[in-house]
Amino acid sequence: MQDDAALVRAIASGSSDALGALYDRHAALVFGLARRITGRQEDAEEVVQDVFAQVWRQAARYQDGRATVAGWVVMLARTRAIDRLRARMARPDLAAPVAPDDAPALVAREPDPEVVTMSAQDGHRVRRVLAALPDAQRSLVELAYYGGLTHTEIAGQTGIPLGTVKTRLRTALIALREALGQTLEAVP
Amino acid sequence: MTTHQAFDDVVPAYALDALDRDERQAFEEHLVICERCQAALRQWPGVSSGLGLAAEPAEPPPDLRSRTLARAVAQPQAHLGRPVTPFRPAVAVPGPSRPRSSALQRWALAASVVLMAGLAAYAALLRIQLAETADALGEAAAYVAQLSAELETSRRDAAMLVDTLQVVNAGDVIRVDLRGAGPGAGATGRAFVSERGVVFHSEGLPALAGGRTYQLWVIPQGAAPVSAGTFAVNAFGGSSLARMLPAGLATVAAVAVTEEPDGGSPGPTTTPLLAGS
Repeated sequence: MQDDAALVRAIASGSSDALGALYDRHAALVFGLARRITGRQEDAEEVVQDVFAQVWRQAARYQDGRATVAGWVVMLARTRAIDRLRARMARPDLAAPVAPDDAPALVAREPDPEVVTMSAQDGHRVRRVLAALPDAQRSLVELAYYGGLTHTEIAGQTGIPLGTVKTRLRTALIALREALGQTLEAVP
Repeated sequence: MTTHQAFDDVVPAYALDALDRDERQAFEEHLVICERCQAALRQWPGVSSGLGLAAEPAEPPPDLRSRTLARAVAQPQAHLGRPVTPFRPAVAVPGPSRPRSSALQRWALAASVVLMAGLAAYAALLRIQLAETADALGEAAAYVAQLSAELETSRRDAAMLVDTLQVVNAGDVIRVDLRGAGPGAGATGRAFVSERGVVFHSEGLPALAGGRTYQLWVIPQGAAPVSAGTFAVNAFGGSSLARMLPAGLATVAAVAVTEEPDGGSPGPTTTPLLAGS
């Protein structure tokens, strides 16, 4: 069994099997996050495609040790999902075309249970940390991170004064970082 | 003069892309000259990926796998150090289409990453950017109406890219310090130039009257000045710019800024306000 970093190196060398293996490990993570952020199945599917296309294109640039592969993939997912969310808010008539399906189907593989469990465990820890935040702070973090809202947009949506939003969000993020620093592999 | 506390305070929100537009612009312009903020920013990607991991995973539809892999492997892969042809901006076509990375996004990405990563990472960035440029030419036409969203994307990409860049030997990048003269006497500037491109920032240039803009020039040894683009100054008199340069230029001997009509000129028409060699 290869670890994620080894898979990414194989992807950088052009291995589509390695990309398939990485998909099997992390697609659920990407899809779940994308669906939560965009709120739409079809947009979430597009995000999954965007993320793995980007992994394929940029695998050579992934530097082992600077970020975990799961962390990298998750950040790509959030970025793409926020893009779609904001694009759809600006252009509700926009309908993303379905990607062409012109390559032979690849054999589906079972995800490596150890690796999937690791992501799931990290997820559990973060959810516990989030749950430990006061409601007022956690809701702002969620609006900023999953909702892609800015300070002013959060203030507009919640009715909380702008200055309070800024202070409270900052406090929440610092608390989150403190707590996460003790539980997750640190990103240097 | 703003105290630094104000910038310290917005680092977390910037990392999550929660700053309003004017806050964000002011912070990014500050970031160019502030290594403390650049370092502070690197403390935050763990929070961003952590929050991503906190979302519930969900199994996508089974047929998504083959569609995803098929589309992905059909695309060219970027490789560090791959030689590329001179850049031509992708044509932007408005109309319903899947939002794609645009040429302007690549430049904004270059500018954003340099703002945050500094000289050592810049050299790696230029090599990466040129490989990415070759990808962009093969992709679908840009989506003009989404330009503003795409610029925001590029900034987020930059934050991620900073964390995945390896510090490399910047042997072929030279630094040029620029000094002001004439109407630009109070200004200073700095440019980082390699055979592939230039990154430039300045402070203290005066705001210009309507219809005029600043233009950056690189002057190769024994040749005419080559334009590196036009730029404006922000409310604090700062500015920054990143541009790829055409291939095949002789070693750059000097860098200068002149004032030109809006849209720039083919060659400098005024005496440089800022220059260095």
